[in-house]
Parts: sequence; structure tokens; C-alpha cells
Amino acid sequence: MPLILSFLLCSTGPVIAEPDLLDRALRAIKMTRADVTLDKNYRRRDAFALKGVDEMLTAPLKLPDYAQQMGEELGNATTLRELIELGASRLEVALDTIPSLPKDERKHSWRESRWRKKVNRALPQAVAVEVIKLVDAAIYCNVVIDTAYVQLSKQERAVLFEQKDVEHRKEYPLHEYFVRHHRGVENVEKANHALFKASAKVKLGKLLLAAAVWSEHVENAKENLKNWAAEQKGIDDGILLELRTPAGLVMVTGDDSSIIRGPRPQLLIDLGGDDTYFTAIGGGKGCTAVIELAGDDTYIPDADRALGAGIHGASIFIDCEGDDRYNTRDVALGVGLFGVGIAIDEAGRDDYNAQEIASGVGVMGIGIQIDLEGHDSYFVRRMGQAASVTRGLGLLIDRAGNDSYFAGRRYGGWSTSREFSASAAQGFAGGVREYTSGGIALLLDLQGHDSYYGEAIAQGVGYWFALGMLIDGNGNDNYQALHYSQGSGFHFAVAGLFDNAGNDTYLGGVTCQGSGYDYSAGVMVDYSGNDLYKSSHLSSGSGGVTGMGFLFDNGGNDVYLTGRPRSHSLGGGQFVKRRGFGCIGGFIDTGGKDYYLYEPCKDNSLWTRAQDGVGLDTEKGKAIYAKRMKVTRKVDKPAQQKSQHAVAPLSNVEEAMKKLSNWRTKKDEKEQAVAVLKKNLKEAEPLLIDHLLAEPFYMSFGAAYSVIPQMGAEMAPALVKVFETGDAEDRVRAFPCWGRLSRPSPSEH
Amino acid sequence: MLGKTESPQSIGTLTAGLADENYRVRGTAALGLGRLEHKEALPELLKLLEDPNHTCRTWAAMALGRLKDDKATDALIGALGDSHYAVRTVAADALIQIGTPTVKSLKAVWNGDNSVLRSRAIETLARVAKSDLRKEIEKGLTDTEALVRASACRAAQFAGIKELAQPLRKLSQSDGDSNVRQVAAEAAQVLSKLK
Repeated sequence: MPLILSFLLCSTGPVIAEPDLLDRALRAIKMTRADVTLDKNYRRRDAFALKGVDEMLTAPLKLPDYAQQMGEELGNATTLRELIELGASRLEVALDTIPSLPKDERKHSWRESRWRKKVNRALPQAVAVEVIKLVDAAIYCNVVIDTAYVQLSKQERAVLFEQKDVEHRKEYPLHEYFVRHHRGVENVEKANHALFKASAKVKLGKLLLAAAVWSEHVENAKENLKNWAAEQKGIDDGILLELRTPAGLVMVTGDDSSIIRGPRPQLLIDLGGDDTYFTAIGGGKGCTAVIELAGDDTYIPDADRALGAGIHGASIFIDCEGDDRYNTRDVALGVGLFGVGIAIDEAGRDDYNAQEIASGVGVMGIGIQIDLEGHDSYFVRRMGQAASVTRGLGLLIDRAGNDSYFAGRRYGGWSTSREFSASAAQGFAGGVREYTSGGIALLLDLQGHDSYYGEAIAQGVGYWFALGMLIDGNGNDNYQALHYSQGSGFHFAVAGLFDNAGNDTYLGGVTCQGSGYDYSAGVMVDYSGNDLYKSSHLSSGSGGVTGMGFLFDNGGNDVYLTGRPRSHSLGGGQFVKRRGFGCIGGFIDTGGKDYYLYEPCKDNSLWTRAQDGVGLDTEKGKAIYAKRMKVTRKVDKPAQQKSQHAVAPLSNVEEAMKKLSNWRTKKDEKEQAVAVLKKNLKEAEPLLIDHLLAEPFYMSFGAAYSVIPQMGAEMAPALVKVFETGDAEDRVRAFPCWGRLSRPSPSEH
Repeated sequence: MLGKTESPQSIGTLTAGLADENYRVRGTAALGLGRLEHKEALPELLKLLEDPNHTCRTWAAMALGRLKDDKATDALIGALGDSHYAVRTVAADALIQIGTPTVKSLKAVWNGDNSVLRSRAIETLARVAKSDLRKEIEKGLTDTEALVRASACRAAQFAGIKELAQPLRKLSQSDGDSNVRQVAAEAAQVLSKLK
């Protein structure tokens, strides 16, 4: 009987969790986990606030698991529709049910019949079927998009739609706001209020529904066209179709290398060949799409809003194969501005070179950029590579390859100060201060040794009621940024940087590496590996001016070149009497033999800072965060196309360089040329460097950018020489090559 | 703003503000009354110290500190065990502002069982009653709880008891807890510089 009683008492009594390392560290500053919370009631209520962000403000320690779960969900999504639905749920938008359309919208008028006949006459049957299906889907989705704006008055519609001539460029007001902060507008406050009042009335659920339906159709069409093209022995050359349809201009091009200029098509399908696009394809109002089936393509759009830029609509851009070069203006490569913009590159080594607002940016919508394969380089001046503003989700997913991400000024002349510029990139989410809360941004790089370079505000940063995250999967990575970076939240926001594996280097300035500033929280977790951290004030698990910051490093022998006495670093906190609120700084390193530059931080010790800051280094005990995302989705590799022509052998390095510099050279010829250069690297090295530094700058895109990384570590000394002796522009050109040099795998490291 | 004007006419508005439904109004009204040192507001401020919102409780504790009324001692001692750290920190500050009348109550907490409260009490006591504390601090330096030992080191530093520099130096080398060693070394360094 007593045994049963004691069993019952044990089984029904309160379960007291065993205190873990975090509890131990917090106890040293007389705190518990319950103290790690920010008062969400401080928020200024607005129509764009997200409950998810509030939740993270209330419990910042939940952020690592929240981010890993989000990364797992998005990484495992198998269709674009699924991605949009997941994005909508994060934005707390319920996708509306499909509305019944007015009957006359479904009728085919005589005009429609005529375009159908023309499509059928001009194209092979399988292609014609897909084109007609896509045009029908676009007509339908455009009507759904229109229903999103029914609640807006005439004036409010004008605020959102009216195009203004700004410095000879026609811009939408919202675009104008986010790019140039209402330049030329006299009463900015009035303009902002009008803009956000109108924005709040837009039914985002309808826009996202239309995008989900449209993406499903585009993805199906792409699969069908890919299967059809694989079975063909030969496809016609030239422009096969250029036709005005009820859904806008439709263009279908053949298997040759085309150069496309002229008016913007709403729908473009390319069946093969190395093409060059000077037109701003895949962007604009309503439903637009680009399906590029094959070839090493070059995209140099002559206007803003291109390559998967959905503005008041949905835009899908898919490039299926080849090493492609993207050289865009503003608003490109997966930008959703009142809608959804998706840009996907399925294979090859790609260069993404963009100005502002590019590479996965969401504002009142969802912006996604996906790269499935290859060593890629991403450039953006400002606001990109997973960034979001008001009620937006910005997402960049790179599934494989050693990639380099660069966000900042490149050629001088543009910056917020002489020293640095605000990158607002690589997992940056921000609100519009005093007007609207921000959104959610996530940069998800699943594989490879990657390099991240940002200036101020980059690499998992949140600002003004927003949530910014960066998750890097496997690989030895380099992170370099200046202020407000690497898992740093500032001014009422939450942010995190999570590196799941590999030996990593983190170089930061002030307010970085898990830091919170002004009612904000920043969390950084390095899940494994021998890492190096270098930073300045308010960094490495520190809170300042009523903020909270945490840095957790699991395992590995780490080096901390930070924590100078009297700086807020490695567990720095303070109590701000004036505000009646404090800052908490927490740093925990588990496992490994670690090196610290400054006292009192030491291997295997616990230290406390002046007030509310604590650091703990221990070899015993379980890591606080161990749960990492599991992305299981396999990438379908495109079938290798057999070479249809004999490749003439190359005799020397000069000839190989010539081949590589010519954008019309076929893939197999390029591969042969690269092999020649590799064989004669000593001779090729100066030529490649000359090519890299060629004037004008776009000349270097020909060979150097794609070939130097393939040469491997042997090119490192030559690049180092450029860093040492070259000017700023030279260094900027050398950087992406450096970041993508073929390196040994993590196991060899 | 009304608090900052230091005008007695604003007292009525501020007192009414203590019952406002918005927590920030309640909190700032408390701060205003504290700034005006309006002792009649003591019962309302003590009530606000039990507000569900921690910001309100923090600002109420701040205001009570400014009133320097020893009648608030018990409530502030209770607030040392508040669920939010900001309230606990500000309550300790308020007790220091009230000064000597709080010593008895703080010593009672120091002699209690709760080691977190004891550690906070010894640090607060050191700032209130500097000279009479040597025995308590010496006892604290040998406590079984590392948290209390670390607080006793800080207390010795705050109280400026030079005679404790030597035992602190010893502790900085012999203690089993790295944080106690660190805090003891810092305190010993400060005390040895005192003239």
C-alpha cells in the first residue's frame, strides 16, 4: 500500500524540470527564464502587426526553435503553392476561398477565339495547350486580384496605383516610398498616412490566393514543357509566337540563342538556347510568368520590376538550366509588393547582380528567391537577399553550393555615411518607424561553404516590431558585417542568426552576434564546429538600453577575440534606471577548449558583468539548443543533355580564354576550356586576374566570375594580392570569387 | 509632463491617473507623484505595487523610493521577490533611498532561508548601513551558496570595509566557484585602493 501511494504521489505531483545551464547562468544574476521577456504592450497598435512577432518579443528564448521549425517547413515544401500557403500562415493571412466569378468573365469572346487559333497555328500542339491554359489561368487570377481592391475608394486606389514621373522614371507610390523615401513629396507624413490607410484596406488573402493558383498553373506548365522538350529531337529557332491576348502580350521563343528587346511580355516561354534579355520580363501588375527551359542566359532588364516582381499581382520566374547572369535594376528577383513575386533558378552557377529591393523581398506580400544548385554569388546594394517591410515575408532559399552573399555599396558614391551604408539585407525585417509594424524575413542556405558580407544592418536583423532570421545549414562559413548585424534586434524587434554546422568565422562591429538594443532581443546559436568570433561593443550575447542579447555556442574549440573590459560583450547587461527596465546579456559556450582574449572570460568558468550580464563556459552539461531543421526534400537534377555537336579541341590558354569570354559559347565547350585553364593554371592565372579587373566592369562577367572559383584554392594567393594591392573596386570584384573558391568538404577540414 | 511641472495643481490629475485602464498612464502617474514627493499618495502607490503589469509595479517602486517613507518598507521588501527582475532591482534601489529604517527588515530577510533574497538583501544592506555590517559579510563569505558568497563580496566592496580586503584576496584564489573568485578579486582590488 505505501508503495502504491508513493507511486501515485510521484506520478501526480508537479514535475520540476532539472535546471539546465541557462538556468544556472541566469541564477548567477538572480534571474530565471521568466525574466527573459519584453513587454509587448509597448507596441503602438497598427493594422499590420503580427502576433508571431509579439510572441517572440514576449519569449525571445523560443526564437531558435521557431526559426528551425520555419526553416524545416519552408525547406521541405514541394510546390510553390505550398510555399505561398506556408508564407501566408506566417503572415497570419487566411487564403480566401475561390470566389465565383461573374459569368461574362468566363465567356470566350470572338476576340479570344481568334488568339486561341493563332496560338494553335504558331506552336507545336503540346506547347500551345500549355500557353492557352496559362492565359486562361491568368485571366481568372487577374479577376481574383481585382477583388482584393474592392473596398478602396477612388482616391485610395489612386494612392496605390497612380504612376508618378519621378526623374523620368514612372514609379508606383509604394515603390517610390520604399526606394527613395518619398523623394520630392512635400508632406511626407500626410503621404505616409494616406499610403498605409489605403494599404490596410487591401485584402491580402485574395492576392495570395490568386498567387497560389497562378503559381500552381505555372509550375505545372513548366513540368509539362520540360518533359515535352526532353522528347524533342529538334525545336524550331527564332520567335515562335508574339501575340496580344486578353492576359497581355505572350511570347514563345525557340531553341536558338535569342536576343530579346522591346515591349514587356506578360508571359514568356523560352524553349532553349543561350538567350540575352534586355526587356524587363516577369514583372509588373497582374499575373506574369517566365519559363526559361534551357541555356546559359543573361538577363539585363532595361527597367525596374523584373524577373519575378509581383506588384499588385503575382509574378513567377523560372530558369530551369544553365549558368546564368542576372544584372538587374531595382525591384527584381522575387519581390512581392502587394502580391507575390517568385524567382527560381534550378541549376548552374549563377551570378545575381541587383541594385535595390531584390532577391526575396516582401512588402504587403511575399517575395521568394530560390536557387537549387551551383555555386552562386548574390549582390545587392540595399534591401535584399531576404528582406521584408510592412506585413511582408522575404525569403531566400539556396539549397546547395558554395555561395557568396554581398550586400552594400560597390562602386562608391552611394551610402548613408562615408564609412558604410545600410545594407538592410541577408535576413532583415523592419517596420516603418512610427507608422507600421514590420514583417518576417528568412535567409535559408542549406548546404555549402558560404561567405556573407554586409555593411550595417545585415545577417539576421530585426527593426521596429519585426523578425529577421538567417539560418545556414552545413558548411564552413564566413560572416562579415559592421553594425547591427549577425542576430541583432534593435528598436522593438527580434532577430536571430543560426549556423547549424561547420567551422565558422564571425567578424562584426558594434551591436552584433546576439545582441538586443532598445526593447529588442537578438539570439545567435552556433550549433557545432570550431568557430572564431571577433566583435566590438554590445556584442556576443549582450543587451543595451533595455534590450536582451544571447549567444549560444555548442561544442568545438572556439576563439573569442571580443569582450574588452568595460565593453558590453560576452554577456554584457546593464540596468537603465531612467526607464525602470534593464538589459540582459547571456553567453553560454558548451564543450571544447575555448580561448578568450580578455579577463574575466575563461575556459570552464562562470562570470558576471556589472549588472544583469552573465557568461558561462563549460565542458559539462547539455547544450541549450540542439534541435536543428531536417530538410529531406531531394532536388531533382535535370537530365544531362547530350552534346549535339562535336567540340573542336583547344590548343592553348589564350584560345580557352577567348572561348570563355564569348557568351555564345556552348556549355560543353566551356567545360573543355575550363579544363585547359586548370591544366595550365600558372599561365592562366594572370589572364584570369586581368579579366577580373577589366574595364568596364561588366567585361569581367564573361569568364573571371564563373571560372576563377572553379580553379580552387590555388587561385587564393593571386586574389589575396588583389586585396592587398588593388583599390576598393578591385577588392569588391575579388570578393565573390574568393567566397566561392572550391574548398575541401567539412569532413576534410 | 504633469509630474515634471512640479505643480501641486497636477496632483489631483495624477492621483486619478493611478486608476486608469491603460497601464502606461497608471505607471507614469505614479512616476509623476513620486517626482512631486506627494506622500499622501502612499496607499495608492502601495496598491499599484501589486498591479498585474510589471512596468506599473516597477514605476510604483520607483515612486515609493522617492517618497522615502518607511511605511513602504514591508511592501518593498516583498517586492524583492517579485516575478519580474526590473521590479526586484528597483525595489532594492527604493529601499536604499529610504535608508536606515529599512535595516531591521533587510536583516530579517538576510537571516532567512531564500538564498536569492539573502543575496539581494546583503547587497542592499551594504549600501544602507555600511559600518555595522562586517559580521554579516564575513558570515556571507563562507556561505554554502555561491550566489550568496558573490553578493557578500560585492557587499564588502559597496560598504567599503577595508579590513575585508585580505580575506577577499584569499577567496579570489581558493573559492570553488569561478564567479565568486572573479567578484572577490574585483572587490579586493577596489578595497585595497581605498585610503
